[in-house]
Amino acid sequence: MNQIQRGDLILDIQGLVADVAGRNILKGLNLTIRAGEVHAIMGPNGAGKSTLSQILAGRPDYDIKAGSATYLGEDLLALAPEERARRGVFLGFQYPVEIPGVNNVYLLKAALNSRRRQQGLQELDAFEFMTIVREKMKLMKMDESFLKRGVNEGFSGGEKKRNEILQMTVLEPTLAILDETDSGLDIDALKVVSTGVNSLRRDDRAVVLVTHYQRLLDYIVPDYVHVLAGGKIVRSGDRTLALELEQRGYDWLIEGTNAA
Amino acid sequence: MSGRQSPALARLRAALLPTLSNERLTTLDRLSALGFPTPRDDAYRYTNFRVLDRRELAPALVVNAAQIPGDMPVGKHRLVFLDGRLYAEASAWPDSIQVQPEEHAIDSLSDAATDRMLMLNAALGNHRTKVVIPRNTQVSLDIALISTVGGAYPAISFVVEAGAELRTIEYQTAIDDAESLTVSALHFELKDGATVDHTLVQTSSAHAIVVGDVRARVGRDASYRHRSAVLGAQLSRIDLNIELYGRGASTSLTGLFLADGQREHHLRSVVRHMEPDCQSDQLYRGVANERGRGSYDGKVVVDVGANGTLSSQSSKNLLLSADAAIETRPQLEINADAVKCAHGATTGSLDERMMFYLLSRGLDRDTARAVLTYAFLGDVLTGFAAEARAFVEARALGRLPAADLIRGFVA
Ligand SMILES: Nc1ncnc2c1ncn2[C@@H]1O[C@H](COP(=O)(O)OP(=O)(O)OP(=O)(O)O)[C@@H](O)[C@H]1O
Ligand SMILES: [Mg+2]
Repeated sequence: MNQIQRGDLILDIQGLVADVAGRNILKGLNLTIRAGEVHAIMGPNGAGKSTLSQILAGRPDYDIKAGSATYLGEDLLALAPEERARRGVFLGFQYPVEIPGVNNVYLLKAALNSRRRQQGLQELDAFEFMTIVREKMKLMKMDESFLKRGVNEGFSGGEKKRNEILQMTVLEPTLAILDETDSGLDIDALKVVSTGVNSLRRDDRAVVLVTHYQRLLDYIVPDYVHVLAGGKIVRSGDRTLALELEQRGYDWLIEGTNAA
Repeated sequence: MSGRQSPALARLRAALLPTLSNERLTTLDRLSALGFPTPRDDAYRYTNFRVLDRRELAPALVVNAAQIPGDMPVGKHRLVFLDGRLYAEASAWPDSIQVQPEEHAIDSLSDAATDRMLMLNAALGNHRTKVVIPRNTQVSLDIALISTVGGAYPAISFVVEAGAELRTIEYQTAIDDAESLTVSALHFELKDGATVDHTLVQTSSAHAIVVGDVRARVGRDASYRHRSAVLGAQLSRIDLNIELYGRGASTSLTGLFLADGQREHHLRSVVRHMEPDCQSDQLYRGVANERGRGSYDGKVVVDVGANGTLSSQSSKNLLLSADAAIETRPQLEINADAVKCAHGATTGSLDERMMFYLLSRGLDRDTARAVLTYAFLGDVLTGFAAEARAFVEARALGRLPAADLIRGFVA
């Protein structure tokens, strides 16, 4: 694989139209993301932000009716979810599922090794792996007891989100899509999570933050802010757009679009 | 009850006529008149034993010199039964307990006298082994039930005196790949404050039919615990009859089964709360793959006056293929006040959201399925003692799809 340079195309979505349960949600969405960038996506409830995130990760429940998503030159939508993950696409879930009985650290190790195999790297032994995990847990201010628990099992809302970011920092994805990772976090946790995300920022990676709150963007300063409404990106700008949205809400942008 | 002569029983009667006592003949004739249980009998709603009409039922006449399978982790104190007979040379028990043969007859335990598989055990079993655990002693005594070919009808009755503790792991296996039938009867009498921790691990070969009749009468503040891991045999059934007859008695019944290929695993439980403040909990997990089948049929009866009863029943089942099937019937019969009874039973396929989460982290589909299946059994497995758990894991995992992929994670 060639080295990714700042400014290279990471994700290019063109005219994406998608239905769920027979209902049209995305209505011709365009979005271009380049290496080194952080994009924030904001928008009203039910606009399709999670739909977009899940489609990019490969969730099977959606019908793609038209359009394309190209990831590092490959047709992303043709890849199985696990193939996307191994190529560096990471979704931080809005509602991470609890998986009782599946050990958290096992999942982390299996995930990392599947990514490394794809990159042609050797699998890590237990010691090397734990060294990395310990360092990242320190960064995320997480207690090591979380490793032994079932995946998200009995985690509080904020702990689940932290666990998502822990996974992200260990996997070091090329494209991280974080769906409302800031929702439900207390102020300290918000800072910790932001530190985790900022630690990932690099010239050869990109981050997409789905959020409702401009405050997150004080900690993770985005290069672009988009408004997703009625299944499309209806406005894009720099971080001042987020401040404007906080003042004015979304109504002024939605008028004239065919909201569902 | 509609009678229907069983050809296998008629043959058997003719062959054994010279050797059977009158009492046994009477039992055999009663069974013969009734025929083997079929789903028309409510207690056997999910199990059809008509298949026994085509099997060899006669007990193996010579005790086969088979050894205890080397990988069976029986403890140093154990009762070993070969083809239904106590094999003293391979058995050992502490001096503190009594082990003696006793006349094998159906006793008056609740509905024991009317259960047809128990009749078969009583008519054809050798003798019953009676084990007495004296007051306030603690004993670990494992049980190995090893069958080769033909019928095996082991019977053990435990009397656990007041304040005594018995811990037993019962390994049940048919070692030859022959058609065999094992109908065992393990009965426990728990006096006041006694506790029994009974684990059953069944790993019989693929043509075996295995029926385990387990009865416990639980006295005041006494506690009977049963855990089962059912992995082998072509057709298996566990029949649990628990009577909580002393105030404050309790029981906990948990188990898992893995029905792959064409296997069938059935469990029936009847728990009767007869006095106030008794507690019963049931937790069952079943997995069926390919054309496997299974059932959980659990009934809790709360007698008049058994106030303050606490009871729960949970049966969750996982179907890994479209041809697999698991049926459930949790039942409650409440005749008292101030009782708390919860019950739930579900059967479904793997959770799609969990599946997607694992895939989105880079696990391939086979691994994700195996991991989730294994985790599904985790609730029950974690309750097993370490040696039984390791034994079960080594056998259960090997049978899960993509087992090799998840071995690392189990360690
Ligand atoms: N499985 C489904 N069946 C039916 N409708 C669905 C399904 N999944 C999503 N939807 C609908 O699609 C629309 C978009 O949902 P989505 O979760 O993408 O919104 P969102 O922008 O993420 O909203 P929020 O800000 O509240 O998280 C909603 O109206 C939702 O009800
Ligand atoms: Mg959402």
